[in-house]
Amino acid sequence: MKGRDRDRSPRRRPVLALAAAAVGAGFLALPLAGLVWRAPWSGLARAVAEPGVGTALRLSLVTSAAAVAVTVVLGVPLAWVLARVQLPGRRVVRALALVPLVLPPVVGGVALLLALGRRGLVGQWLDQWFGVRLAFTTAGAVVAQAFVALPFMVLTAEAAFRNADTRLEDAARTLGAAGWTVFRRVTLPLTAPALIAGTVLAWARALGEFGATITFAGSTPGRTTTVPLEVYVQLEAGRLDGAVVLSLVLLAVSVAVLVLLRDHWLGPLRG
Amino acid sequence: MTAPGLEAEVELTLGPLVLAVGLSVAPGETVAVLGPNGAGKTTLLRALAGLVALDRGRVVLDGEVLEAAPAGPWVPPERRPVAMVFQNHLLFPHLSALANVAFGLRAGGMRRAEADRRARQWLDGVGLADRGTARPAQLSGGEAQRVALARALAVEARLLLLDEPLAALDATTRAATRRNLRRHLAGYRGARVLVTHDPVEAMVLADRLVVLEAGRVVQEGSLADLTGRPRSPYVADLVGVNLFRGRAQGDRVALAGPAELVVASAVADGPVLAVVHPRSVALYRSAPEGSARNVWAGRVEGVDPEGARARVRVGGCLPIVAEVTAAAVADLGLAEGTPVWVSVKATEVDVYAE
Repeated sequence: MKGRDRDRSPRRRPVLALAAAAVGAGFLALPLAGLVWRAPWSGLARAVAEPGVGTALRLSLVTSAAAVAVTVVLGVPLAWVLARVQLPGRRVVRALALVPLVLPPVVGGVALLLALGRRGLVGQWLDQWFGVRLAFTTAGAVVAQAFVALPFMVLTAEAAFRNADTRLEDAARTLGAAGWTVFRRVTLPLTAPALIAGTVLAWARALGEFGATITFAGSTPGRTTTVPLEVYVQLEAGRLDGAVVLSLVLLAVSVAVLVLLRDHWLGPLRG
Repeated sequence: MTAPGLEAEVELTLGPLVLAVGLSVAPGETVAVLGPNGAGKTTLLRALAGLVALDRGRVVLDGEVLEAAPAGPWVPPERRPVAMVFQNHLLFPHLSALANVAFGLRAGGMRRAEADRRARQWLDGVGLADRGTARPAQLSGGEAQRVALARALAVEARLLLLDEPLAALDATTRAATRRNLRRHLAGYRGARVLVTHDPVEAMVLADRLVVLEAGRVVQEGSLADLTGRPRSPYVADLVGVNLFRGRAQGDRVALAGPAELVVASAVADGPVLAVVHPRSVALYRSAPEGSARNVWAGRVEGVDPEGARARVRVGGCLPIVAEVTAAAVADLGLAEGTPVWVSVKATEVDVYAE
C-alpha cells in the first residue's frame, strides 16, 4: 500500500539518485556476470575432473559440516546464556562473540596460530599432554571455519531466544516441566526457524572461509585445501577453468542460501 | 498443622508495584481477585505459582510450605502442585490441542499413550473431543481458552490459578465459556484463585471477592458486602454505587467542599463513608417540594442506557449517578447538559465508619 501511494504521488522522479543506484547495482552485478560469462559451460565435466577440484569439493563439504557442528554446539548455549542469564560482563562476552565478524580473517588465523599452534598459548599443552596438533591439519581448517562462522550462529540464536515468548516457558513450568524439558519441548521448537537460519548462515560462511584457514591450516591438498583455497591454487597455476568452476559452485551455494532464507526463514524474523 | 487449602502472605516489589497481600483459600472455594490495572493481580498469581520470588512472606498449600522468604524453602514452579490458566490462553503454538493438554502429564513422566488417552478425556470434558488435532492457531478464541483450561485441569493440581481467563473473548463466547468454566470449577476439588476485573465474572464464578488496589487488599467479602459497604471509590464504581467520603457530625456528613448529606442512621462522629444506591437517587426538572432532606441542583453529564434502565451521571457540587427508567429519560428529556434537581432521602444514605 505504502509503496503504491508513493508511486502515485506527483513528485518528480529522482533522476540523479536513480542513476547512482543503477551504477551501484551494476557494480554488484558485473563481477557475477563476468564469472558466468567466462564459465566453461561445455567443458564443465572436464573441469571438475581437474586434479584438485573434486578433492577440494569433498574436503570443503566435510570440514564445513564439521565446523557447523562446532558452531551449533558452542554457539547455541552461548546465545542462550547471552539472551537469558543476567551475568556481569555479559556485554563484554557479546562483543567478543562479534569479533570474528569484523576481524580480518587473516588476523583471525594468526591469532588462532598464536593460541592453538604448536607453540601457542594453549596449543603447546594440547600437544604435550594429548598429542593434539591443530595447526596445519584438517581439524585446524575446521577450527578456522568455526571461528569465523560462530558469530552468525550466536547473533541469530540470541535474537531468537530473546524474542521467544517467555510466558510460554512459564506456562510449561507451571505444567511441571523443568529446565531442560522446557528448552527441548518449548523453547527449541519456537526458535527452530531462526536456529536453522543461523545454521545455514554459519555454514555458508564456513564454506567460503579463506584467510583464517590458509593462515592457520595452510594449504595441503586433500587435507586443508578447501574450495576457496583451491580457487586460489588453480588461478596461481594458470588453470582458469578450474578456478571458475569452483567459484561457480560457491556462487550457486550463496544464491541458494539467499533464496532459501528469504522465503522460508528470514520472513518471520523480519516482522 | 495448618488448615487445608492455600495460606499465603505475599510481599514483593516489582518495578513500581509494591505487593503486600494476605490470602487464604479453602479447598473447593473460589476466590476472585478484582482490581484496576496495575494493582498486582497477575503478579500475585505468578508469585503463588512460583514464577516470581517473594521478598518476604510464605506460600503454604495443604500444610506444605512451598515458599518462605527471605530464609526458607523455595519449591520451583514445576514442582508446585499448582496449575495456571493464563490470559490469552498461552497454548504452545507448535503443538496440537491434544498435545497441549497432554503436555503436563508427559512432563510428569507419564507414558505417551496413557497421557494422550487422558488428554482426550479432558478435551472431551470441555466439549472439544473433535478438535484434538487442531493447532492453537486454528482454534477460535473460546476453543483455545477451553483447551487451556483442560491443559491446566489435566495435571490435577491442588491449587488452580486463573488469570483473566475470559478477558480476551468476545461477549457471546465469554458467556458460553463462563458457563463451561463454572461447571468445571464446581467439579474441582482444590482451591482456586480467579483474577478478573469483571464483577459479573467474579459474582458468577467465585464464592468470595478480594479487591486489590495498588498492591494491597482494600476489601474482601461477598458481593453483597462490597455493594453494601464499599471501602473505596474503585469498589463503589465496580459494583455501581455512589460512594462519598466525609466527616459525620450529628445527623450530617460534611463532604469535600461545601457539600453535605443529611443522614438518618446514627453514626459516631468522625471520618465516614456514605453509600447511595443509584436507584435511590431521584431526578427532577424543577426544584422538588417534598420530604427528601437532600436536594441540590446539577447538570447531566452523560446518559448510559442499560436495557430498560439508564444510568445518568449528574455533575455539580456533588457528582452522583442516578439509575432511572428509560421512560423517565424520555419524559424528563435528559441529555448531556440538561439542568436537573437531584434528591436523595436521608434514609437512603447508608453511613459507616471508614
